[in-house]
Amino acid sequence: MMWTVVIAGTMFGLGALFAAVRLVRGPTQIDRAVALDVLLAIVVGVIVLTAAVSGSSITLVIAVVVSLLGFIGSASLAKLLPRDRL
Amino acid sequence: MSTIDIIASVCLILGAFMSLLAGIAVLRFPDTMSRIHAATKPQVLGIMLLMLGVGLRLGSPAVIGTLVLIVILQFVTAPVSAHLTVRVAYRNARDDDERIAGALPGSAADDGPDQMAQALAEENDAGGAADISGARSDDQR
Repeated sequence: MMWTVVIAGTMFGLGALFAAVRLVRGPTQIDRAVALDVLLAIVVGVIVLTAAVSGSSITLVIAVVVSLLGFIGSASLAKLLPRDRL
Repeated sequence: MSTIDIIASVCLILGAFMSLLAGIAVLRFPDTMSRIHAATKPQVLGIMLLMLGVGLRLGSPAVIGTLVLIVILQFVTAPVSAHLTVRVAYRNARDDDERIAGALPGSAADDGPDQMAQALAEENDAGGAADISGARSDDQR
């Protein structure tokens, strides 16, 4: 289980790093919204990995809340973002 | 380490690998549409693999109920949010194309009043003004 945590944690960290780079650089606001969506999916994955390692199911409730929050955030960003005038 | 633990570890690592792939794709792909296409993968397949791993490792019925709830939530909400995002991206790209082609105000208005009046007269002669206003009102809905 130790090596599972190391490998999966490294993959999560690299994915979050790449998504954060796109979040900073992204040319349009929609790219930033997509990067935020990926970051929230990675956060859900890390919470679930924590539950699998520690063997307790308390943090799974947080995963439910974060996945709902990701949907609400993405949908409201798509509704409320102004049009890009490049 | 039993067999079920090994299967759970493989599932967890595969789910984390999907997240890594999504990060690389969001960073490297050239286009907003392809970025959205790649970003939807870990939200469905990656979450499903991770939940399978945790369910195999913990294995009590209450935990499996919570995991199934998360998976169903992701299955329902991920296509909806991706659709909303893609719709905004597509409309932005289409507006940019039309503005480059000179069909929308914003390209002709910067040239001064004379050229704008001339452009408006040309549009009226061509009979394309009704189509453009129809498209815009449909767009604003």
